[in-house]
Amino acid sequence: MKNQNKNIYRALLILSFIGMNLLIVFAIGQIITYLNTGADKSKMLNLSLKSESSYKPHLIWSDTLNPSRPLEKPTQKRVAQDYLNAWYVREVALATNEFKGIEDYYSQSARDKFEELLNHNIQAQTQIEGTSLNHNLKLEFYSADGQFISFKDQNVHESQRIFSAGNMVLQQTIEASYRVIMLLEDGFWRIRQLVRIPQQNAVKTSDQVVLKEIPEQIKGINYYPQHHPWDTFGDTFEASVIKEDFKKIRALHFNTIRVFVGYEDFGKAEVKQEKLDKLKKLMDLAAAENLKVIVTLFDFYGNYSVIDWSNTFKHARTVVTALKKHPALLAWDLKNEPNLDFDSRDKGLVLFWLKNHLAHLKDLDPNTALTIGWSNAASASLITDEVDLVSFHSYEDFESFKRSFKELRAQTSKPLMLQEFGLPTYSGIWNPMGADEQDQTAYYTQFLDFTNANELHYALWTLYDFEQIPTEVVGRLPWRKAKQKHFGLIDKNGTAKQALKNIQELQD
Amino acid sequence: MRVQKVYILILTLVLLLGFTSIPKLQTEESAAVLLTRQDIYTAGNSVTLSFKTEAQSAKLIVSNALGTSIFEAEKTTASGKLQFLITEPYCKSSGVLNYTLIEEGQTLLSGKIQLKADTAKISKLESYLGPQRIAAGGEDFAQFTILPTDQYDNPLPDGTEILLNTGYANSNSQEVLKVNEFISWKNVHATTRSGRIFVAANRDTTTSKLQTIYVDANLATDFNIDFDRPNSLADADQLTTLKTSSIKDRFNNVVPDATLVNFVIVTNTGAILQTSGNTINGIAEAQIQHPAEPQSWTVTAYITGIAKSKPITISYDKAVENIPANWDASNRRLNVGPLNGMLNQTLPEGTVVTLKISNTNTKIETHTKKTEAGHVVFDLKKAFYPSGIYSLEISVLGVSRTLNSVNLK
Repeated sequence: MKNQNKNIYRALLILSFIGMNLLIVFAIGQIITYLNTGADKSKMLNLSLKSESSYKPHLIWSDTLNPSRPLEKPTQKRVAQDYLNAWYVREVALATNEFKGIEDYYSQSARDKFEELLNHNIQAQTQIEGTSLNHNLKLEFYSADGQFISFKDQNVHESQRIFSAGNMVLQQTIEASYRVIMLLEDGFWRIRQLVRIPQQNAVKTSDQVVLKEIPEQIKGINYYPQHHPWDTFGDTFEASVIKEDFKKIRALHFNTIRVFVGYEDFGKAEVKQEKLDKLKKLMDLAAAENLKVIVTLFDFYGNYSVIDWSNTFKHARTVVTALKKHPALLAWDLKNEPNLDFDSRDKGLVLFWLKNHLAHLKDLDPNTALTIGWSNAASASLITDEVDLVSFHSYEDFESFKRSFKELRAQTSKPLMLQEFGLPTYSGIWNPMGADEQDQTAYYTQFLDFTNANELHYALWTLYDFEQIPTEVVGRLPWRKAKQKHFGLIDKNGTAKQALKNIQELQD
Repeated sequence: MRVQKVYILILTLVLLLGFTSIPKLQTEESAAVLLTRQDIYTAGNSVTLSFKTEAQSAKLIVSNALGTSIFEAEKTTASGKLQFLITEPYCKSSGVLNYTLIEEGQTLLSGKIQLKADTAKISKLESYLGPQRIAAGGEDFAQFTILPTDQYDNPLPDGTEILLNTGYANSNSQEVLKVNEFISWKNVHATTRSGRIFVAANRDTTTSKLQTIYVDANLATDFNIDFDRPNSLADADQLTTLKTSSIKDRFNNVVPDATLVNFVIVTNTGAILQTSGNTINGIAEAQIQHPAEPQSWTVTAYITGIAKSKPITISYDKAVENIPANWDASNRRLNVGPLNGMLNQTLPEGTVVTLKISNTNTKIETHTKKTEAGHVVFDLKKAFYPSGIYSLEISVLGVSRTLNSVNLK
């Protein structure tokens, strides 16, 4: 017994000795690692600090002629970038009431003036969330030694949300012109003078803009490929699959499809060319099948804050300019179900965002119809003047749909579109009393009879049942996902549901 | 008559239609009316905007180029009237000032006023000059840019007159410049003589900083060179000084100090040597050591890419007349010396002496040694040089002497 105890003590002693040693070695290792972190030779010259700018209003040099010295391309770029940075730091300062970055982009006297203004706002507890959306620079003078530049910035659109003691008092978009003098000081072009000058009235072209014709009745379907829904333009993009799908859709006597452009998926402000190419390809395929396309922009976008607008404008500009001449294009749908963001993002802000973006789209492409895919008819009445087609979604029963449709019809004379509707054929553990295929057939019969009788444009949700639903679409809850998987006219095995056989007749 | 009836009918129709189309009336009664008539103010004066409105809690949002602020109404004097005093910094910044009258998020009225710079009090004539150094002759110029501002740092309106004073040597000239798009500017061209041009602008009692333009000589033209040396001996000891004439541009201006001149020397053996100097008052000097053997040099000086000199020739004579040498056959030792120069002086310590050893088998070897007190000793060891007949050639400073048929035992 005694001997055994002794052995245990011995073992313990030896083990703790080894353990202590291990700990000491580990500790020394940690210290050495710590001492070796920090300064990295490759970062000595700050070369790796080049960050991507997050402020991207549309800037063009409309004129670089001046009586003094020709403006070199690199200087042109530098001045433009520093000028935008100057705007950015000022917008941030006005929004946060802090002075960060101002001294990098404003010379001493300009800084003094701005600081006085900001102090005034700090005292009055005023905050301005704002952004400029476009800059149209016209060079006036660039000095012989390349240290002094003066230019006009014409018809700048600025959107602002003004807060007093935390409460929003006004949101507005104004247009103004500026004369700017900048000096090259220790490598930065800094603003010396920034003065708002009287606007030269832009010459408005008096040509009547003709809107592209909308089909007499849009008989549409919301389209996602069966195997990668919500990721139409991803790596799995397969033209042959889409072509087959479009043939099917055409055979069912649909004349329109609705597709979705994800804001982040397409690369945010810097739209990826490959994504655009895929979208173009899809539209080419649609055109070949004589289908029109409603393109829904800004899918899964949810920021809306004013300082981000220069990015969303840039995104819209790239997509719209690339596709506005496409023969298959029927309408731009600015945003899918923006009213769902009212609670989390402030209704006023979302509406302000929508109105400004509608105006921007109209400006970029006056010939194509605009719409917003509201998730219910009640929200659709919020913006009717600025759109050409009032769209809403309905997953309610027929009676409540009829009621909300009548209410909306009474409020606007614009064409209406039931842009998403459908019934999932799901009954299972999460919904034992769910609809079956017969119910779906009845549902479509009822709805399509109504839309045809009332000349209401429509688009079904959707062609296929899906196997995977991304979490961003309906959240994590399995009963929601299960429902979302079964809206199709064709089930996941490719078998036609009952409703499919009737669709063609119902549409004619 | 029929025709007339038709005309009358058409005319009546047109008139009828003309009067039936209702002009677009303002359907909504504007909720506020601006009472202030003035829409142009001078910066620094007080700006007051009065509105006729029922909205008593209305606020005024004001924005200019630098920012946006909210103003509260002053105490109302009468009911239905609101008065706003636009304070600093808005009332002292020139440019367009936009205002929006709001109540509870609703815009009642918006408009703009304009503030002009206070031309009565010009307080600063900011001036920029560049480049500061220009070349004489009249083609090159410096640009003088003036940004005049009032006491609140507002740029002055177009057409404001500024007096530009230019001074060179004893002559002064004046010119009136007009402000255009905030600035006025003038290209000051170089004079044909180098020197300084002074420029300054003023208006009334306000003056700008005095700016100096340095007019330097234009590009140098070709020049001459000369040399100076203590003696003409190739003694590898003395220094020859090379010197340019005064280098000038085509307007007879002396080139700026420290202009680099390269002297390139080509020897009669084809070697190239180089030395350089910087100009002081247009003259550059450079020095070079005498050669170690009699040579003839051709020297040309260059200001690279701009100008060059005419070449000159310099010759160096031999510095040693004869080489006393004594062969000690018993010790196999060659004593060279005493080596004396042209003035019979001992050659400097360390003068290189070369010994070339050759025999009938054409074996050739060279030894070099440096003099000590004019003497050098060469020991030809038996281990290296077997017995036989050798020829020994001794060279000092380009002068040589040969001992033929020396018998090494």
